[in-house]
Amino acid sequence: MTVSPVRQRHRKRKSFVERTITGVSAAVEQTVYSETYARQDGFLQRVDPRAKLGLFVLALLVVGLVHDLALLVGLWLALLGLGLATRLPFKVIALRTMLGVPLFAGVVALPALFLIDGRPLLSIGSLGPVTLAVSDRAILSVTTFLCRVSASVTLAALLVLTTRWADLLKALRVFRVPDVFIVVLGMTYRYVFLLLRLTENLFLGRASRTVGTTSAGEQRRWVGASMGTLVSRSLKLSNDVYAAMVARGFSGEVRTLTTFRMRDEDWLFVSLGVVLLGLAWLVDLSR
Amino acid sequence: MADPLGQKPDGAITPSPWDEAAARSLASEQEEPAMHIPDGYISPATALAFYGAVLPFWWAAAQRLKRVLSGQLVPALALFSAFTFAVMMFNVPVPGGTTAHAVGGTLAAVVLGPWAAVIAVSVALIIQALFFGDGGITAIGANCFILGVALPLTGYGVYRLVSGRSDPLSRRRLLAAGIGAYLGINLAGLLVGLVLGIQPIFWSEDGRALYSPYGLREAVPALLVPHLTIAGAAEVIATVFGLAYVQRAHPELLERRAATPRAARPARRWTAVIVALLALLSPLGLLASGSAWGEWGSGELAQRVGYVPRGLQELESLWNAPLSGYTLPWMSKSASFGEQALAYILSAVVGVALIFAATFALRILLRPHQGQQAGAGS
Repeated sequence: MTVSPVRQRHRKRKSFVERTITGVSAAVEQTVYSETYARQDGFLQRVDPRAKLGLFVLALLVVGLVHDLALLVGLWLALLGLGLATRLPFKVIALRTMLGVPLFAGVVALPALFLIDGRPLLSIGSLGPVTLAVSDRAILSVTTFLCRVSASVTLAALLVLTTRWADLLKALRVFRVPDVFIVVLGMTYRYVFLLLRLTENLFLGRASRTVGTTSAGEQRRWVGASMGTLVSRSLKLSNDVYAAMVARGFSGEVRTLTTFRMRDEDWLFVSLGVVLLGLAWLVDLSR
Repeated sequence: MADPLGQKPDGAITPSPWDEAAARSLASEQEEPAMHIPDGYISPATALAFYGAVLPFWWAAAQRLKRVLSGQLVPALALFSAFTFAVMMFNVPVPGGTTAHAVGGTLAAVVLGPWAAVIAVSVALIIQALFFGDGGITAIGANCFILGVALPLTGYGVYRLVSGRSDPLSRRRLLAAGIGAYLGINLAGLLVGLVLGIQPIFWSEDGRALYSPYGLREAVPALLVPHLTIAGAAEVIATVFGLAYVQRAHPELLERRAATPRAARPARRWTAVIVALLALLSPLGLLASGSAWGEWGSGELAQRVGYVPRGLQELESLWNAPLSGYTLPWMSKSASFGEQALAYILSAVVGVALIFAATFALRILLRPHQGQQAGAGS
């Protein structure tokens, strides 16, 4: 059997099966390692989750509102420093905060360099009738955008990497999120891994049973069937889980234990954080 | 059990294989159209407005589901959400050799019910944002409104309109779900494009964009084109083939849904929901134009947000080419940005109205002749 060069090149691309398996395992691994860092001893890990969540939401707001570019860069660098101070490995911080979303944002923002009008700083040349020039405003716009995205992503990453998910969920109660919703979030998070494992097994099973190439129609039918299987499994599971909950005395009402206690250090953390963020905001407003 | 908490690596942390896995998934992520809005792309005011917009839908969905599911509410919603999350991880093979992620909102709405889909997609998105860093935390409201409310409700509404009273196991239901999924995902793409596109109009300082730097004329086509093609195809494939499997393997799920007494006059109610969604959309256009005319002179506007690239007039026509249906041909090239924004939104409204017309035409064409209805299922 000969494989045409076209097909060979085509085969080099990762198939939808491999991509899904990679994606699923990356997601699971990522959370496992997040959880490991959250259990380490570190400055941010010790802070009360409610205090951390509250302050981080405020910080997200300030990072979102600040106009001044220098201030934005300063906030971002401060956050990176905070990450190192809380003993997160530099590699992890870098990967989370520079490679992922910001890298994507950079790719997204690249054409804007040539699209935004202003005082031309740098002329790249012309493509036919079109002159490519980078203007001062374009550079400012794109830098502002990238810094804002990076700082926001760093904030979100620090929160997730230093807080155990169960604590993060409980901390949502401070924001008056209804208990039912928090319980649904928590249970979903738990069962996401079960269904991801199921998905992974479906795809691994297929990968190990498949030799050669399959037709596009067959692939689509198979993806559809896998999704259908997941629907029916999750419906059946929800019945089973409900039965198990009723058997353990669940009456439809949600009760939770809250065991947080704010220490003085937590109050200090919150108040210092509010002072610094408030100052940053004021500096930005006064400009 | 796949719970990661079960595996506690104690002691020092070894350089994780996660690094490579994450890098790998990142590399594959780059090829896909951006669906979730990350943090920093939209202004806090926009984000807040979307939180306000999504809350009533969550409340309505919760009230509805509480009545239907009663005690079973919590586990059912958790499992539905986990299902939606898993579906979003699927890579769907799309014609042309690429793959794309599907949202599965329409599929969830058809199989689980529209309100369950609203909550399920929203919870899945919140988990993605909070624990997986996928989509922004401040943008949760926007992402949930666009992907969790607008997408499944539109998809389901169109599905009900096209399927009429046909047999739940008929091919017409598949067609209906496919059309609904396609329109739903494209409405979502259009909304993301509009939301990103209005950022430099409202939030710029001395010509410097503070958030996403692209105006409507770049953002809308950039978001719509991949949704009309790749993402749209992935969503249709996932929905049609997923539903086909459920029809074959678990017909009881669909028959049970069809048998609920509330299904008596579905079309009118769903029309109302879609119209309400569109009504929510149109203030976006009024807002853009009103503020543009009210606050800024056109010269200042052009200077502030014009972004009309000096030597790029030709490139613009390139951008617009695939979307010539969306630009009004009688608009002059010198029209102010606000006018063009309004033109965009108007053509979007016209486009949606056209879709409505086509949908109703399809309904009339597909209406089974009396007596033939029983034989529709195959």
